[in-house]
Amino acid sequence: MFRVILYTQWKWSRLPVALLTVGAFLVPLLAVQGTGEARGTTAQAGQLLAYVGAMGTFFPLMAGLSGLLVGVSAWAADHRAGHVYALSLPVPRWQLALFRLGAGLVLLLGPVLAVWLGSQIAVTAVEIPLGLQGYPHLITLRFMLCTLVAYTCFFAISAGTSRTAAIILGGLLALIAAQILLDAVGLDLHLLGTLLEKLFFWPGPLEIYTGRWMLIDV
Amino acid sequence: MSEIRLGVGLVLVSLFAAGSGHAQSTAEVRARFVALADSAEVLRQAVAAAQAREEAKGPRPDSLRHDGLLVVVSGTVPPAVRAAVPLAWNTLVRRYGGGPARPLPDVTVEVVVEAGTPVTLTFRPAQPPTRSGRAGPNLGQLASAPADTLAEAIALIAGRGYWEAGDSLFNGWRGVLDPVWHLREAALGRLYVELVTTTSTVTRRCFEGDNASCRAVLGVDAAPHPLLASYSIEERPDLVARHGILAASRVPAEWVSGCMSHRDPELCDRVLSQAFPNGFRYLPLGEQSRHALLALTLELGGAKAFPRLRASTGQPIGARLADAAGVPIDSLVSAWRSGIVAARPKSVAVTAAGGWAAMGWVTLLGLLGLGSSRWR
Repeated sequence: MFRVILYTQWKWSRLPVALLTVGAFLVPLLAVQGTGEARGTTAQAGQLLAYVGAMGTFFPLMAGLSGLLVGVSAWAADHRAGHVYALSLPVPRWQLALFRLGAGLVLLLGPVLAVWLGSQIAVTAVEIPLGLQGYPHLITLRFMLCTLVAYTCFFAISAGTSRTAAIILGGLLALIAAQILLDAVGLDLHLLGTLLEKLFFWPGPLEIYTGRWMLIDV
Repeated sequence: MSEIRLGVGLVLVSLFAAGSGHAQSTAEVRARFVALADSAEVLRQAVAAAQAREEAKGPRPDSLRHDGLLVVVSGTVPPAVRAAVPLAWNTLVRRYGGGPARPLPDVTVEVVVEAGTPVTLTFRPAQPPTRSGRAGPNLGQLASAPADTLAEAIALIAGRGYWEAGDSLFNGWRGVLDPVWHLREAALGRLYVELVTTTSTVTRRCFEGDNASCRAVLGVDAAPHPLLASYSIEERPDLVARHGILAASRVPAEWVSGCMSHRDPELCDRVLSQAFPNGFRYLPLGEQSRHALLALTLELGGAKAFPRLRASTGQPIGARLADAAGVPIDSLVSAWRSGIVAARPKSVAVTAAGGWAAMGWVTLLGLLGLGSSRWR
């Protein structure tokens, strides 16, 4: 049954997954591609670090995008067809959802492995100055965790009803409106700031996205 | 506080009066309500007046003394500070060589307790150093720190007074910050980054293990001018260009332009020697690197290191440090470099806590996805 689900999910999302895999492979290469004169010249280590740090922002973007596209596409076809296919299957709902979740995880292996391969090639291609070193494994691990967080988040939202999605979206809009209102009346309450703090600081779900993404570092 | 008592009394009387006895007419109820409101207003004013007086008094300073160390604390003394004062004095004695025969001079440190959440402690010397005219470094929010950390902070601030009394050559070499602070792991990690990312060829050679280059970039050699030893001929015009305005204000402008435009080595050397008499400030490595060397010197030399350092005026910096540390200057510099290399900062790609938190969220969100009710 899992293989069938995996196959159908692959059919639905093969184009985005293929594009994501190519993109994920290119991100580490881009992170070192423009280091220019810094390559091999030990005196320019600072320049290399600055460039790698700036280009490192593409890692979390790619991770978020991978999770979003695979997470949403896991249920998109069901939503469009009114869940007829899913209801015709001889399995309970939770089991189908588990298979869908697992199939998405398998599909995400493509971008994750692509990042690992791209990172390996990138750190091999660049002559790293003395005192610095490449971190292809660690950055791949972090990319994988970010992808998983984004994927499970969007998977959970997509798996729910339109009402659930509307509640989440409406809640966010209400929060923004409340913050504008509070600011207007001069009340010193930072609802949005508190929310972002909870999301982006440990142990928030997006903490793994924050900080520098350095393929090459000290 | 008598106003507060009076106000409370008025409110209570009004309340009792309002609740007592017979059925009241509307006018009576209104009158009592007005009286009650008036009493509340009196109470509010009394509380506000009392608060204003308390604020006008300011926080009451308290003080803790342990031998020669006096710590003046504004507001309530946190228990951790109380425990830290003897430890701080012991650190001072150990670091600056106090003893029964030659006690350390008395020092005073001020600890400002700022109420709030979290409570903030600001450490500063009771009097700002006269030479630099700067106030002490604010060591930040240490209220929840353990006693030994607070003791270190107090010792650092108190020690500034001892350092400030040094001779001008030594003070010019070491800079203005407290040296011992930079013994800490994080500071050494920052030095590692500085060493690795430098554009200076001499510093790069130092990082690669060349002791002579390390001595040059630390400015400890008895060279004619520290900048000439620590910058290559090719790098000197760029150094002059970076400080061109300052240089042109001290030496003839044609020297500066000749150095910058024609990269004339002789002119560049002349500009550097004469425009930057205290060249230590412009060395390729920042003063924190020299602070780390000083801290290491005190650590290796023990309690007698600081008095030896202070007493050895007239000698080159390197010889003074070697004498204070009790080891040859090359060994000292080598140990300094090894300490920095050993403090290489760990990669911040993924922390264990962050990784586990992410896995927890993945599990939670996955379970939410399984339990959703799209077609139930």
